[in-house]
Amino acid sequence: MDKTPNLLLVHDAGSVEQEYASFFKSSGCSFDLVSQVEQGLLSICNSDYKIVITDLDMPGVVESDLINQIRSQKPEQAVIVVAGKSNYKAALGALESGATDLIQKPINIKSLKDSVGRILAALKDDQASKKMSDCFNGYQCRYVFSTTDVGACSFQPPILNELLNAGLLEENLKLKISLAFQEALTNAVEHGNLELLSIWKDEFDAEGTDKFTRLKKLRLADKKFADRRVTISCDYSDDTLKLSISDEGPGFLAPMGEFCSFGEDKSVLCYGRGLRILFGAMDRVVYDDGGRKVTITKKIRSQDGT
Amino acid sequence: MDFETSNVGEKALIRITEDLDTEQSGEALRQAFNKVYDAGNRTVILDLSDVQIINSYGIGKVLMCYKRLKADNGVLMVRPLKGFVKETFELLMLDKLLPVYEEE
Repeated sequence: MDKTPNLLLVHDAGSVEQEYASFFKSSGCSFDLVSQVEQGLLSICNSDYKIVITDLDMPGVVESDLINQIRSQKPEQAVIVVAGKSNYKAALGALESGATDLIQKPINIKSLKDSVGRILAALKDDQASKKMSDCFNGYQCRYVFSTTDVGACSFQPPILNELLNAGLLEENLKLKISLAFQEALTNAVEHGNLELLSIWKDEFDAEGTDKFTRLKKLRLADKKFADRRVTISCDYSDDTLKLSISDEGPGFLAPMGEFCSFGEDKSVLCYGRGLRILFGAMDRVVYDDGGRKVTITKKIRSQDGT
Repeated sequence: MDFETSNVGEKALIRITEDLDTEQSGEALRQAFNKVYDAGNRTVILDLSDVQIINSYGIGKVLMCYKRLKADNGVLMVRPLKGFVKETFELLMLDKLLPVYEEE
């Protein structure tokens, strides 16, 4: 059984027990008390406290250094800083450096209780979310379609809805990933397997039909093109969703980094908008196999659970 | 699928009530645009406030409207955008291209 107390108080021993003792006793929180910063850092390193409460008015404390040192040891450590009004700038510095909350002196027990309660509740939520995320960890799925099967490009990987329903993916982010996936899938079908060029959308025949639409219809009926497959792989691990789409077309010269400037009218109107959406919506877009395979990656949950 | 058209003063308004991510909705936009364009309107406002999703296909249809109007010294405007559509327009820098029509 883990006997580490919930809280670590880094505080001058003098008045702390009078100020905090009744609160911690009544709230059922156990705590360790250290009166020097160095001791505090050592304790943080050696134990897993849910919250560290540290006084910024102690001698030798440089607020941002203290928070940075704590963060370097335990990046996710929740820290409440306590400071007097005269040390207000130091307190703001600590918040900017990543302290979780600030309590002003003289300490109002209700404010302290609220702050501790909020942080413990958030940690609990985060643990529940992490547990749910762990359920999906290692998820892998593979789908293979012929070009005619995905001709409408309406397929959505089921993992997106599963993550949404599990509360691990926000609706807006799901929309972005869905859109990016659809752009990649459309590219694989139209430009990959059907070998259609976007510039043909502006070439019209005597009947007013553009060359792109006309050839798409013809090639969807031609086994040489229609039987080519599209393979989709979905992986979820370490809070990161990775989707790969492969086609069996001739490949293309894959874009490297910034592939198109959109600063001017003319370039906004150029083709490649789908790729721009892809690059804008996802964290990583990697082409390989001569442009026949694209892998799009998005971290959907950060380390702090958001 | 039809998109409603109306007039706001001397400007034409097209209210897009479906996501612009399918051939059907793209075709509905093309038809609504042709209707107001053929009626002589050269300042057209797109109301995308009911649109949740727009993809590169839908963007292509919006730009088709823009190009036709621009070729005839016309203007394509949009009602204030929000959410995902706004983000997509900003990503593609269309917000620099299409002026926002504020209610008078």
